[in-house]
Amino acid sequence: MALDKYGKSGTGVLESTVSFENLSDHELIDATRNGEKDAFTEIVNRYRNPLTNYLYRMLNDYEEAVDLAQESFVRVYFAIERYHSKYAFSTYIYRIATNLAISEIRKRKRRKLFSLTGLRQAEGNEEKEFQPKDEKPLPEDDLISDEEREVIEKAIAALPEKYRAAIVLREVEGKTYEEIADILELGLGTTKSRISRGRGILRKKIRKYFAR
Amino acid sequence: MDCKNFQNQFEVDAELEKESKQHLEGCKNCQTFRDEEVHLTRTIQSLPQVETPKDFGFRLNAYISSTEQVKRPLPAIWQIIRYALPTTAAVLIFGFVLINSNLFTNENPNLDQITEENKLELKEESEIETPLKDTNSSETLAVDTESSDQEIIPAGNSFEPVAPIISAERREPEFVTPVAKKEVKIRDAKNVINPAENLQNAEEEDFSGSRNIASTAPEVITPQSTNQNDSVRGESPKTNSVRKVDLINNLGMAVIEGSWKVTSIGKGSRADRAGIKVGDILISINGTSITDRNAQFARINSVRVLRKGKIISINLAN
Repeated sequence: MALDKYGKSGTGVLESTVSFENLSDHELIDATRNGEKDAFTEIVNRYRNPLTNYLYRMLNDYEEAVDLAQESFVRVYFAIERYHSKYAFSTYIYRIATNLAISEIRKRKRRKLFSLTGLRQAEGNEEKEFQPKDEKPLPEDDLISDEEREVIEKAIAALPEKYRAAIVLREVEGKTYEEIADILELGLGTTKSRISRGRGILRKKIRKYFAR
Repeated sequence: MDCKNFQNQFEVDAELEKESKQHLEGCKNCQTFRDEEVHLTRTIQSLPQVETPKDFGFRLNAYISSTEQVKRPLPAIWQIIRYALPTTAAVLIFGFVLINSNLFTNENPNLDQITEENKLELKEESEIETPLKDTNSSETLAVDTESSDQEIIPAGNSFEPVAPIISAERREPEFVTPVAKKEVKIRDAKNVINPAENLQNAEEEDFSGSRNIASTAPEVITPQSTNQNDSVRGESPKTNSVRKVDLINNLGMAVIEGSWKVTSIGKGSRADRAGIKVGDILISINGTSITDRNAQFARINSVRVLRKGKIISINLAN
């Protein structure tokens, strides 16, 4: 079992030997293929938080984001023999996560279609049910109000999925255009265009706060 | 540079080119755009980062373990058994089918039918002919043998088992048992399991009780040549039975009468030339079933034989 260490750690915090920390992603993949269990632990350590954060911004649902992050790692683990180093490992795992997230968003849309029975009154906040409960204290920033953050979170969550993935990868995860193009399997021009359009939608949403 | 170009090229954290700077200084719209872009970026960057729960590793571990158990490959011995079992089964089934097919070719169900029929017929004959023998005595034998223009076969004093095979070369019955002993033999025959013996007994009965002694004469004896007094039920079939054997023998092959199985074939004989083989079972002659006791033949033009489960028609006209 590749992740025996998780069980042994008691707290569930991933640990990995020092020797793996300096290895590249591809080297870790090769080591995992060769039966080095700690190598996969190191991979999980590297990507668990960024991936969960990305999925959270995509889905605006923390539990779902954690579940899909887990599913992404499971898929990587069981398909590790088929992994090709054509792309960076981060591209590979973000692509898996993106596909899972988009599938989930589409599922939700279908569920929402059936759940709209008229009982729910339009209150100008159709994404309300997806709002996460922020457990972390927010960073102090006098220039940006909590209300503004809430609005931008909602605005991102309300973006069409094709813009949302590109915006989150670019603005939240800080990926380059090339990386985003690879993850989303798009051309570079299309990727830039989507990001630009997505930013335009978001800009309109927070314009009133900016004007104050 | 126009506004569109500026806005397309603008990156929040990237340093502006000289042209862009010049445009920005003189364009209020683009200044607002830049400020909004910067504010948007800062707002997004200020969003809280979520982290995985502490038990993420534990849950992932459990999930992978459970999935791995399902996907875990079978032990080597099971891998072997998994392939060996169907293979063995297939081989056994194939072997069974092969053996069965051999059995069918050797012991054809048609043969059983034929022998069964003969058994029944023999029983009938025995029942009918036993009284005949009592009344007719040896005189009938003499008359019949004369009238049938057959070679008279001397009666032996002792009963000996008769070889079931009537070969083509051995055309004369070797002996004829006395009538008195034959009756005993006929009764005993009912309890005899071997059909060949039964058949032979019937043949013996023919020789003595109803005087139609097996002849080696190739000439076909017409029904008219038999004594009118002998038009007892069952006589004609007996006559045909003997003739059939003779006709078959004349082809140069030996058969077991009753089962009609070819036991030997003379080299260069008509049967040999026609392609009949040892082990073939005769089914019909000239299109008439070989078990048809009323059928009469002057010459065998064609036969149908059962060979390895297949019926083959053989032309003997040549």
